[in-house]
This record gives sequence, C-alpha cells and structure tokens, in this order.
Amino acid sequence: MRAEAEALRPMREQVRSLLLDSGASHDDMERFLLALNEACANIIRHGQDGAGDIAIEIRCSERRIEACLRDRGRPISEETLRPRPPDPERPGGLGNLFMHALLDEVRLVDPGRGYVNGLCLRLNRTREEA
Amino acid sequence: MSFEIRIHTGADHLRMALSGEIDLAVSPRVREALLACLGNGQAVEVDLSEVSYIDSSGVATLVEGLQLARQQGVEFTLSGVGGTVMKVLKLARLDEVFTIRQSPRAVGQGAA
Repeated sequence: MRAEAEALRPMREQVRSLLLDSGASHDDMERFLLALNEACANIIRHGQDGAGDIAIEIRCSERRIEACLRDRGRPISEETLRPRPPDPERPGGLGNLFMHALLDEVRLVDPGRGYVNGLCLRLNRTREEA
Repeated sequence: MSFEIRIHTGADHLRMALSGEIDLAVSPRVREALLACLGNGQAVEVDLSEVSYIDSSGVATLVEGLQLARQQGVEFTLSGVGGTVMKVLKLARLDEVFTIRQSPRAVGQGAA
C-alpha cells in the first residue's frame, strides 16, 4: 500500500475480505484489523516523510493470523515499539498500546533486501465464535 | 460509507454528528470541526452513533477536544457510543474519562 493515510481504509477493506474468506471470527477480524491499521498508521506518521510504500504480507492458518510489514522509513527499534501506559493528559502513543493489547505478538524481523524495517504481527485464533 | 461530519446547532449546545470510519485520514477533519465547535463557547456533544470504526488517531482527537473543553469550562460529551467504538475506548482505558450519553440529545433540548 502507499504510505499515505488515505490508503488505510482500502487496505482495511482488502484485508477484511481476506480474513472473511479465511473463516476468521468477527472478534479476531476486528482485533487484527485495528492492530494492523495502527502499525501502518505508525509507519505513515513517523517513518516515511510522505513518500514510499508499505509491503504487507498476510498469512492465515488454522491457528493464527500473521502480518509482516516492511517499509523504507526511519529505522525503528524495540524501544520505539514499547507501549506506554494510557494517560488522558497525553493521548499520543495509543497505537503501540493497541497493537500490544490486541495481539499475541509484535516483533521486529529482518526487513529483507531493499527495506529498512520489518515488523511481524501475530494473533492466535483462539477466540473463534461458537 | 464515506465519512461525514454534520453540525446541528441548538440554543444551548452544538451536536457534531460523525458517520463512517474515523482513522488517520479523517481525524484532522474531525479535529478542525471540534476546534471550531468549541470556539463557539457552547456545550459540545459528539454523536458517534453512525461511526462504524475508530482508531487511535480518532480517540486522541476526542481526548484533545475534551481537554480543550475543560480549559474553556464548557461541557463535552459523547453520545451514541456503539459496541465497536466502546471497545476501542476501553482498550485505551478512556471509557471512564468521557461523559457518555446513551443517546444523542435533541438539539434545542436543555442540558440534563
């Protein structure tokens, strides 16, 4: 996707459709979509200086839903990803909090050739609806 | 559904009705409209009953509105908070920070 805020909604629609096809529960789908949105929004806000793209690879299996994001923005670290406690006086930084609260794993990975950052998101599919 | 902001002007408060999905692309529009409403000096109610999605940028915008309203000494409420939006407010542990009305106040109806 383009690293632009306007690209977030089409991205969500595309991934929603993919997750529906994979049989994801409504709860899993909403959790994963919000977390993925936050990861992409962080890259757009902090990493790209208004240019570039974000490569997103989604993998769905019976047990988990994963996304690997790669971008060419400013380098991020574990420290960058660390959530801080919510503070009504300082509402910024909620994106990291959401990602960590919604997912089972948020980790940096080798970005591969041509990219600066690699981020992997994982949700274990343990919340299936009956 | 495309995103829309509708402002309803009452005798004693303004109701800002939002519809659609609130994300990083539309939060600046929400912020601009909120600041304009709060600049009026009247109580402001943000009606979220037609909001189907909100992310952290939308939540942060609402918090900014709340902070500004407090500084100005005007009432700031949310209404029509559906399940999806409430889950996100709870995730941010902000559900108890806002004054939340179950349903939107009719424009022209006095403050509760």
